[in-house]
Amino acid sequence: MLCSLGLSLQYGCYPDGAQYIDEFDITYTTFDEQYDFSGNSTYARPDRIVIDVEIDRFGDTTYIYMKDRFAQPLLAGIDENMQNYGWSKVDIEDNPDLLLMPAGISSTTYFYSWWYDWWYCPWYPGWGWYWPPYYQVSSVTTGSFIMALSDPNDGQESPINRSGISWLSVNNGILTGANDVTRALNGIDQSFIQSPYLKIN
Amino acid sequence: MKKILFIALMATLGPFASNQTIAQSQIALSYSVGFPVGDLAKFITAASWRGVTFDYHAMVNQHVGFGFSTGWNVFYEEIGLDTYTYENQTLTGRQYRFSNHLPILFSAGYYFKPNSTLDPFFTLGIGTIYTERRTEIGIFQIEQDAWNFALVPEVGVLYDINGITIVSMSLQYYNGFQAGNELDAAQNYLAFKLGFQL
Repeated sequence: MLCSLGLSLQYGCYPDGAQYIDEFDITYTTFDEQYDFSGNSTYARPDRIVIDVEIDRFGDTTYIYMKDRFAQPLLAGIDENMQNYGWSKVDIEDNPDLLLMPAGISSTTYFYSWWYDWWYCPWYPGWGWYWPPYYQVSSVTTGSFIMALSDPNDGQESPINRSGISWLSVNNGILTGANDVTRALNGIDQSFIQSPYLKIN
Repeated sequence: MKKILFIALMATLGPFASNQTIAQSQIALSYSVGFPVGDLAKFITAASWRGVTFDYHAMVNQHVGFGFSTGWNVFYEEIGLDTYTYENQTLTGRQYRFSNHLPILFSAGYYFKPNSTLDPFFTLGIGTIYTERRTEIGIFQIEQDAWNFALVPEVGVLYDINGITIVSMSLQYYNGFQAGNELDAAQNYLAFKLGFQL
């Protein structure tokens, strides 16, 4: 009995680990080691950030976007970091070297690549990209913020007309638990800080 | 607060101890503070303030006893925001490191002065320590475990305060030899134990 009491007290004192939501924040980045970023200088991105998709019973899809008051500061943060690294933002019709694809995750539905296939379709007919197999979709929790860079020209070298990801950033959970975008902006900054290979200037 | 409650409980239970039982067996419940050594110290530098041990010796004569020893020590450390790179992947976040140690030992003890106010003793435990090492970062966690063969010497002293309450103080070295593939090094720690003979 005394032994049980001792163990109960010990269990009661067990350390908690992370307790506050920002203590769970992580910034993950990875890149294609074969890809030469220095040979490029321009990128294009959408003006909105997709966060979900609704699919009706006929299979039609309706995309849902992040509210502008949250999305615009995040897009500005991305542009600032890209420009600090020497990149120039151009319109998508100006044949950018890379496409930068941001997304917020508000559900576990896998919608991310569908939306970009649709968004870039008029400019790169038949082109698409695929989610990197080394990063499990299930690891991306609700509230995560994703950025990906993909080279649309790579799709021409692919037998399935699909480009891989040259750079991927996943900030887990930074869009949850707050009514401001400070954590998300910090996560965006950190993504670039830990990706010095993106610097071309 | 929890530490205070623990000490208060020990103080409450102490008076139930008696010399009559000591003659036939030595039973101790102790608070154990652990200090990491070797590979464990590389993983967690902080001392473990969360530990409890239970020791039992059936006495074959006044000096010699055989029995078992078990317990639980938790080492824990928060590593601040840091960046880790592996090949083409980089992760930034806060790390929370845990190392749990559960020894299960057969034990032999020798008590030098069984009827004195101060009774020095030496014990040697042989058995296993179950080690569970866990690293949490964000929603991810890495868990490694091992059943380490263990050799655990201990030196200490029993202090008979008033003929009723006997305090036990000792130093015990938990030497868990390398075992398995997940943890590829020995898992060792030194424990300072303060307890009561029951």
